[in-house]
Amino acid sequence: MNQRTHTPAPVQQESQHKLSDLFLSSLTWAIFISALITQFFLPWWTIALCSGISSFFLAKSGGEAFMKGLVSAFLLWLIFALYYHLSTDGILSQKIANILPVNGRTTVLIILSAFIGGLVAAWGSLSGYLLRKHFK
Amino acid sequence: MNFLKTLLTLSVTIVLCYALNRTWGVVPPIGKFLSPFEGFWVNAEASYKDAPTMNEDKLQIPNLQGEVTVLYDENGVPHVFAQNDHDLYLAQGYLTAKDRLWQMEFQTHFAAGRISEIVGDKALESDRYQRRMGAVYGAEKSLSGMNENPQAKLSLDAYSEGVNAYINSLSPREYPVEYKLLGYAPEAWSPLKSALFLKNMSFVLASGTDDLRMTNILRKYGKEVTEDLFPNYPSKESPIIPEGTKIDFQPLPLPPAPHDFTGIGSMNPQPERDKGIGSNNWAVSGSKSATGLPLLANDPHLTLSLPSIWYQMQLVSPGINVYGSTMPGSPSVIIGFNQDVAWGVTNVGADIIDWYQVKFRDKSMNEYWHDGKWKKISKRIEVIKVKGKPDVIDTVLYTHHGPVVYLEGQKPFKKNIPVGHALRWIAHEKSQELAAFYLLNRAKNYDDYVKALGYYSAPAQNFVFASNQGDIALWVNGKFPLKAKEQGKYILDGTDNSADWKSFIPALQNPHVKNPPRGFVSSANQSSVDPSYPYYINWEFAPSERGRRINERLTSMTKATVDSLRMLQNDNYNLKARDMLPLMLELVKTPTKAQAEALTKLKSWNKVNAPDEIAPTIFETWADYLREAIWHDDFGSDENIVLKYPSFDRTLTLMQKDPKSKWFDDVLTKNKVETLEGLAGSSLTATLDSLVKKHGKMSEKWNWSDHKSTDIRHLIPGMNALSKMDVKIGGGSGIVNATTERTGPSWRMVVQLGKDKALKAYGVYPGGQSGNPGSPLYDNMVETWRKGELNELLYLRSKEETSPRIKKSLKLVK
Repeated sequence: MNQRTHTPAPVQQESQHKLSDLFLSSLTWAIFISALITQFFLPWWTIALCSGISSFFLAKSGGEAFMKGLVSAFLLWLIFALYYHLSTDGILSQKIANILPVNGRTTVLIILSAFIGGLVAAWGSLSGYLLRKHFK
Repeated sequence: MNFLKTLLTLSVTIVLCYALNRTWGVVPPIGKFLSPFEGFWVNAEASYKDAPTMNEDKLQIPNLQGEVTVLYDENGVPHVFAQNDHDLYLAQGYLTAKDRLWQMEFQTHFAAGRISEIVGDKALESDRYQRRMGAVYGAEKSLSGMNENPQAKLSLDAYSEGVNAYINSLSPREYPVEYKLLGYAPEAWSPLKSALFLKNMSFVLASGTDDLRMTNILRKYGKEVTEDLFPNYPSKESPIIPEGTKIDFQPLPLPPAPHDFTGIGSMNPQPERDKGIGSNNWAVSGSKSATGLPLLANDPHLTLSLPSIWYQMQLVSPGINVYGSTMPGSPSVIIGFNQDVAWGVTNVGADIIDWYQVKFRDKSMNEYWHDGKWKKISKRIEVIKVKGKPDVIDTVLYTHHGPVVYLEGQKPFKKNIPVGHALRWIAHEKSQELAAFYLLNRAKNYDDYVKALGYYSAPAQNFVFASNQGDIALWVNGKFPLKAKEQGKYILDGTDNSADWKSFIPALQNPHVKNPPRGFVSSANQSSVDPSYPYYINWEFAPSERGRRINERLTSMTKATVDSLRMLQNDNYNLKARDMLPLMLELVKTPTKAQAEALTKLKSWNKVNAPDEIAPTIFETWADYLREAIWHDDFGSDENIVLKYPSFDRTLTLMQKDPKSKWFDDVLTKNKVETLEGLAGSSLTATLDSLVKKHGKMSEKWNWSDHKSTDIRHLIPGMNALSKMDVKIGGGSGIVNATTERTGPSWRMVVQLGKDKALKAYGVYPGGQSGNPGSPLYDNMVETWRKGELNELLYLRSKEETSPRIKKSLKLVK
């Protein structure tokens, strides 16, 4: 549904297009949804597997695999971390933010969490894409 | 090339997952920990108030025989209604674990000397100490004792089943947050862990010992000086059993005293008793109360911690309806009340810990000399697992007295023959404490209470009691060895059979008092009895100030109410200041300008350790410095011999009665003779210098609560973010409100005895019911406690009784 268009377009439009592609492509959603489901039952590092398998089938380039892995897992973890933070008035996140070296800043803690998820998914995603090349 | 690239990328991914999934020293497994699906995030709980009330949850628990109803009130106290005892204690275990699992396991790991398993070799010395003191050995014996009593066994086994049912229901994402932080998982619970927990109370309350220090002093100064400066009864005292109380038994003859012995002393004696650990309790009779029936109050002073050492519960099944504070790790209520009776405890500073100097046959240390024979040493291998390191194996030698905790090197009288100190400790005896609490929880009157106490050994406690039949009583209760006077004040001779503990004071001859004419009973860890009591309990107890203050106030009290007892629990009056300050002020004859300012503050002070006063900061520091100035030259420890200072009480009498005593001279200064006046002046100057250095010029920064800085700390050292730091509160050591830097009233309870609904009870502890730092109920009671207020305790007569305070209900089913 989100095939790359090869018709030339103005620069601004293209960057918008890239941005929407990053968030709305089938690969992004595949990672997001498969990770969402498995994370409830399986260990956290299965985000690397989910993004890897998704990219194995859907990614077109290494850059795409990496970025979409990063963005989808970042978003997934961000949404859930924010949910827990807001629904509990930050009762625990505030304390943890004082234990970890983030100077008590819960925003940093939330972004750091999301980034860790994103980072692992990105590398998993890239691995999946590269692996497929050997099966060609 | 492509292949390499793939391999490299794959490796990065795998290494990343691995590295973020494990702990690195103190760093938690970052990926796992920060994951909002299984990390700390999911431990955060929404406010209790927002939750819909009365949401009836059903939980399936294997091994239950019937259905158990649990009603939670607004403070998260579970009110448990079971159909039989088995289900009751199973539910107690389950529900306690639900709120406090990590704490239960951490405390029992600590007791068993297993902290190195979690945090690595930085805990090795602590673990080794626990093992060498015989913690596990004692717990094993105590467990075999408890298993002999069917009721204790039932409660212990069912409790354990309950804890395990909870542990088994958990997936890793549901583990308490401390597991996630430290990166480990809970293991199965067992009755031995409960035994370890209970034994650990002996470590907390009854492991302090000065025998080795006293022997060092005896060797340095001889018997006469030592007995003069370390007398066997203080000059100011108001003993727990009131003077003049007649004994109602025919005492046994005392055993012959062991022969005179001066041990070799020791370079590595144990820590002194923690001065902040102690407690208050009292009961006033109907003649002194507004209701005409007794009132009872208790506040045990322990290390203030989060999660709290206490957990409130109401336990109901046929034959029992009890409410009170339980200890996570042990079945039954420890301090509490039921419809008919209430009870509370304070520690007895009994001499139930003695050291025997052991003479080994040779370096192999396989045999030791006792009673004219070489006897076999038994050995116990302690394997200490260490995180990230190989196991540490420690062989502990045991004589018939107990473990040889200390082995001295080559110092002793005969070369190459090692000497050690064996420990004889009541905590190593088989015991039945759980049976005592089982019966106490169900007691209906004074006779039931006395019967229950008969099962109790250690740590010895002053059990205060009141009933709605109008009785008040106090038993100084525990298993006390029947000794010669002063036997065990110093190190004993391990070769001398007459120095052994031969028998115990019969339980019914323990010091006790029932319905005394003065209309109240009380205890605050001071001397159990005056010197007319026929047996030896100890030569030194906690200082008398709290006890004397409580007794003064109770004597003048009439028409007492719950509120008058609550006020007394929060009394900040400083008796030490009343006793010593006038003399200290007199001693500074020509004050400097800075001294004069301080003296003005002290002279206008009402001697109340209130949080916003500067005077208590000056007085407390000065009193410490003065004592230091008087004694450091004569009794200061150096690296070779460890000594202790004469008590505050003895120092005061010396200052009053013998102001020219040679002890005031500093023997470290040559050609100069110091006087008491000189020491008072110099110690005051030192006091002010140190306070200026710490807080700057005299200002509200010198306020007592800021200076004292009471912290309620999380059990993991250094976790300030999970602690309550700098709680603004008055009191102090030797004050009825015994809140010091790290210790204080860990549970305050006041019960107004009465028939039916006339029974009212109040209580609070500085923490919350939940052990989860992510729960609003983690520390919600701290503020109530700090302000000296109490919560009314909800005592339900049946599960059908309704109350607007019930916020949540839970059904436990098969």
